[in-house]
Amino acid sequence: MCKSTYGAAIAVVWMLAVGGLFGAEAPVVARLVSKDGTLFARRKPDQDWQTVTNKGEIHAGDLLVGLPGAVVETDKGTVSLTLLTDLDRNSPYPVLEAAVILHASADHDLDFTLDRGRVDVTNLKKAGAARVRIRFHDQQWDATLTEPGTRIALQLYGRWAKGVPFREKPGPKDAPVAELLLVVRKGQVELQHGSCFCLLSAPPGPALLHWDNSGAAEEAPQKLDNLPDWVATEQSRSERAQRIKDVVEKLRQEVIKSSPRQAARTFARSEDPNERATGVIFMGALDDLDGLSAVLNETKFPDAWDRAVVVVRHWLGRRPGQDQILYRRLLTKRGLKPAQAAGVMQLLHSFGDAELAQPELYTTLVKYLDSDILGIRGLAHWHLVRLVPAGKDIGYNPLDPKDKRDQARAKWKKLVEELLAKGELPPK
Amino acid sequence: MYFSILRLTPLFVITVLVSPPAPAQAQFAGVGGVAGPAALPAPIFGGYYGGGYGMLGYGWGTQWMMNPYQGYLNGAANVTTANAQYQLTIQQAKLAREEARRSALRTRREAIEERLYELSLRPDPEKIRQEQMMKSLERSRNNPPLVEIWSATALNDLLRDIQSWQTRGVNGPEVTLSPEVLRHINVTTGTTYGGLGLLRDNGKLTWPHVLQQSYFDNERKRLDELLPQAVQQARSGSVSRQLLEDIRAAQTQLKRSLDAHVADLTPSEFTEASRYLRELRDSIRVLQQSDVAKYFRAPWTPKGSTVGELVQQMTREGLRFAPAVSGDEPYYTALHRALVDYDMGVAQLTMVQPSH
Repeated sequence: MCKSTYGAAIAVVWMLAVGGLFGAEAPVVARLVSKDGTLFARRKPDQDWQTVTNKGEIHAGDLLVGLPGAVVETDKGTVSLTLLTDLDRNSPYPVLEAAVILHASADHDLDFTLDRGRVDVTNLKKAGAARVRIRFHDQQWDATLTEPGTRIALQLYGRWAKGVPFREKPGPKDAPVAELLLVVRKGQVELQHGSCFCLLSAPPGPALLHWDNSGAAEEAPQKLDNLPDWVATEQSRSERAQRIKDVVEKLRQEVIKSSPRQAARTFARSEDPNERATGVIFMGALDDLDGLSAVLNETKFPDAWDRAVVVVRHWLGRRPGQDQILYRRLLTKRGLKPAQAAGVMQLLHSFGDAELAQPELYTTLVKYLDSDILGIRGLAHWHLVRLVPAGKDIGYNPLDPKDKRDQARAKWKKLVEELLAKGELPPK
Repeated sequence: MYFSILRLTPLFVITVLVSPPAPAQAQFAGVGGVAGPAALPAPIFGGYYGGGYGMLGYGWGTQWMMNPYQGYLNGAANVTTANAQYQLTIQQAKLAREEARRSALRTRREAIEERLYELSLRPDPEKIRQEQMMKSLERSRNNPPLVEIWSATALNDLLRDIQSWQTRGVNGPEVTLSPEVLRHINVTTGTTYGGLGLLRDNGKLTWPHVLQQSYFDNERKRLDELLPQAVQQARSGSVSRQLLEDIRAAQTQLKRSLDAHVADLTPSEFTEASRYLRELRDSIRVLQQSDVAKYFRAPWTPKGSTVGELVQQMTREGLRFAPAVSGDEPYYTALHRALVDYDMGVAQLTMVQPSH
């Protein structure tokens, strides 16, 4: 009896151990073929990011964030996935980073969710077609890359549209706009999504497909005579592209030395503006809201502050529900009152034409320059310099001491009152 | 030999003079059966063509030797060249004189053009005014910014145009107007910026949600009490000075209270409340007018089942549109659409019937 009880207990422990060690481990679906420190993986949102090494295994279900140029190949070497960004600012959407999730699939050479940003998918087979399943939002597209070397570019971007206000209790229609572009770079692609089936081919030909979540986008492929400039991102030779590549390489080396999160924070504090910008963008990519909050509260650089706002706005636009996460965080972690947190969220959204037509909007923003809440006064200024560019040289800094801020605020007040009196505000 | 040659010289001269002028190269090649150079060097500059070849005949050691006939021919050619040069000089002088005349004319024309150019910068003031009105009308017809519709600028542009057509007896199509739309349209005589606006409903205000919060209870209740009294007095003539002062005091206090609670409100709430108080201030200004009673009487209330009727009434009473107050915006946008439809209809009619 005693022996059998021990035996049963040992069996249970062994089964639990095996289950814990192996049963929970997701299958390996791909390997990193680019350098160490170009790809980062996370199993769950509350886990820390792991740096994937060259030839390192990539598991199904992990969220992967890549530096521009990160390349993964499926475990059988049949398809490659390259994570890219907008190096030359010629992309239709201002993508900042790329993130994907790979899935195990017996029927497809590659099955992945495009979470956000720009990726390329290439058929690496020596012969025959590659089957790729592309998931994004509520969509599931099946693409057949008909011959070796066939390559497609994908870009997914989301943001809150102009004038859509923040709602504490959002309805089903309170969602950011999402858009996807698919361009065939080389070869032919058979694409099936829903009941639609279409044949796409590289330019000149029906190479472009556009989707958005409003349901109004055309489902028929559009003919392109040439590849758009934004597609050949990796061939960018501009001064800006080279500068970004240099900084990204430095970031990669810093990641290897420390960790993704630490490297982002180190860069965000850098004296070099390019490194600061890259660090702040990388923080957003890694969902490091604490890091972004630290930038907004502590940075001495106005450009880093401004960049952090842009990154947070991108972060909010990724998918529905992001703004609720930040709102709750402002209430619980920052201890703001509901009206204050809602105020910050409103300012992180945007103003519609009806609001922009009201003179009071401008006087309100000037008044909020005096807010005790850094986020409110900083965001009020962020909007003011965009709505009233004449004041951009006034030199208001939300991080300055109050007496200095008051001086700048008085100048803003005078300017806005003058423009309102002249009828130059609201802008026509 | 020398003598006889001299005697023959006039004949040669005459012969050469009556002969049509020929290029110097031809003279060398064919006269007197004398063979010229088999191959002459190519000219470098056209202007030195003749002189260049003439020089080749002098001196020893050149490519060919000159005989006496060549000397005569050369002399005759020089005479011809001199004559041609004279004619050329005369022609050039004539051309220069002509050019001078043309230049003078051009200068005069340019002076006139310059004067016109100067004038173009300060055309007739009336023309400027009309051009500006036309531009403004075009803007008001073609999807103007909301701010221009709600401030009534676009509506008044269209009103003015329709009035001008009606004055000339041109009426547009039947564009119907809903009484609900007209109920939300404010008019003014032009003596105040706004119309009755928020006081339309006998002085009973519809407070926005944000101003219904407890922070603003005292001032809100005070105004709810005073404004209907003021409207009642206004209907019968004028509002008492004391009542107006009390209203202004309550309104000022409410503004202060709003400013004090800026931190408790979101930017949208604060903007909405500030706007409402500005509209309230504009509406209260109407109460100070000596003709305030007319604002509450039928002729000064927008009426008409069609755009044509509304415009006729406004023309008759000398009214124009006043800015929208909170909540009126959709009605202003609807009225704008109706006015554009009518105005464009008139424009089409006048294109079909140019006699108008």
